[in-house]
Amino acid sequence: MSIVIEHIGLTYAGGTSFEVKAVDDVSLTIEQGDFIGIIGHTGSGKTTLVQMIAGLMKPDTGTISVGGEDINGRDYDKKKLRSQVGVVFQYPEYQLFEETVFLDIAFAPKKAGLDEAAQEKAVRKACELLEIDFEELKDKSPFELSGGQKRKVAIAGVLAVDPNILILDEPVAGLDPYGRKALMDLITKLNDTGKTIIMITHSMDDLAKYAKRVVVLKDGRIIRDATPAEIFSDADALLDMSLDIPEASKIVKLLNDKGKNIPKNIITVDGLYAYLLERLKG
Amino acid sequence: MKKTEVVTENLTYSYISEEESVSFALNGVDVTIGKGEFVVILGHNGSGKSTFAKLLNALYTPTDGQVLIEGMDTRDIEKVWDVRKTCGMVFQNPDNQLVATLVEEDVAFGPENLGIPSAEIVARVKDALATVGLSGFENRAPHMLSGGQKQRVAIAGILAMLPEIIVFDEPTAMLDPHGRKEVLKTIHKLNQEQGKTIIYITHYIEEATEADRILVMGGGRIILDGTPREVFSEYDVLNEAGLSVPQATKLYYLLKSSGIDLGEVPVSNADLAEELCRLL
Repeated sequence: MSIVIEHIGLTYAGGTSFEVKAVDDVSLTIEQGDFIGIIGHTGSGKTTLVQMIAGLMKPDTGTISVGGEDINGRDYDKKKLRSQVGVVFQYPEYQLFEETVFLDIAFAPKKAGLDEAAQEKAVRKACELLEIDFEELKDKSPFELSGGQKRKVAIAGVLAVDPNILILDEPVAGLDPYGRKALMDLITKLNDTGKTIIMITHSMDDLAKYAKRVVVLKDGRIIRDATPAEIFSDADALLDMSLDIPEASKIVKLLNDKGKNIPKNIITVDGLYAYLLERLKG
Repeated sequence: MKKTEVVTENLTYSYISEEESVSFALNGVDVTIGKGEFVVILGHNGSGKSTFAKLLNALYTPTDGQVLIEGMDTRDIEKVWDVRKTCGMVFQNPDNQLVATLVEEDVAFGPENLGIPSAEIVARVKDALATVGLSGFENRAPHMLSGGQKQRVAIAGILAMLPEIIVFDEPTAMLDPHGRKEVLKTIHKLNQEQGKTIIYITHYIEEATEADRILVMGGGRIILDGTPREVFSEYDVLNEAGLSVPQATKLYYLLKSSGIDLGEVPVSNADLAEELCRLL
């Protein structure tokens, strides 16, 4: 199911001296199965935009439709959206609240009206996806777990309703390299099964490696929307906005500053390795 | 020879886990850190690095072995305040460390609790804010600042207690790249201009490239101890410890495995680019 966003805008504290246009006339179409990265400086409107897509905030102007239905329409049942769009917020482990891991993961399926057998099935499936040992952890308090495990449980809680669209706000922030890779591999796996991924991140290396499309926000507006290779080819534009670029792009830039003529659309270390091998040995 | 500032001997910290067995967060760590050193401690989640940090300023006391901060034993209850004054600590989440409604009051909180005369506190707050580049922010509300600015207020609060050693426990983990850069720059400045001893805990290996020394922790022990170049040369050990090497170092090893030798292991992108330029 595709997401069609047309000319949405949202202003915070309108009419006061603190007025901020958080999102300003944004239009965007996201097809089912896309993997889209949203980047932008802190305060560029990234989080506000995804919260509107998730139906958690309502735009002042414009429309958002998911699967052809206006999610802010008068007759629209928001419950439907909750099982279609899953949201993993920043530091989702802070949202754990139940007494046991099982109850925490089962919360959304229960709210969606599933009976007990179906709830357990949903929890087992989510645990399997996240490689959580169901038998070992189901009766434990989520607060006893390590940071990485907590985050997995929190994400399992979102996946338990099997949403078609998954929104993730800085999902790897604060994880160590191992936890980070494991989570990015999972997100890619979910995308491979056809789920739409919308991910806010500051980690350009992850986008270079995994995303199909990158949207750049500035002052609440979309200023670029293209493939990672196209976006990161223009390293200077991103650096000017004090955004980061992938490490491989930094090396390419250093080499090009010395006149070495490396194609700018090389944005991963693996890509740069293949290119250098060809050029030095071939 | 620099004066020795932090010494740990057989430092061990264990606790009784749920299954009633003894778990070791730290298991016999011997390390000596000299005055003015910039030491980065790397390790994956659960490697014992945060426990190590908390043992340095007596938030935890060792279950076995000892920690000496400028010769003071952290187990000596009489010395706890002197230990904490000498060895300040900055944590990961800036929001959990700010206590007052105005920046200047927040920075003054530490020295006030040490009973410093108010004229002196005023001077210290001014100096500390200048050091972290926040002069003019005295009357701002901390919660209205950016993450990087909040973290710099937290650093100023520690500086106002005039510590010799500052331990940073993943101070940039919750910041955006811009905030991360400004905080890291501030910390390097403290080391270079004021000679503070810095113990910097992180799992961002890129932040370790400019350290004097890196300690890699795994399973409650120190498994590598050396300069960035020495540590990055231990590709396999780092991998086993669940850590990655910087991307430039990874590329170096990939090329090496294909018979393209670029000489010494690069520590930074610039090192690697320089070597590559010779060949291209």
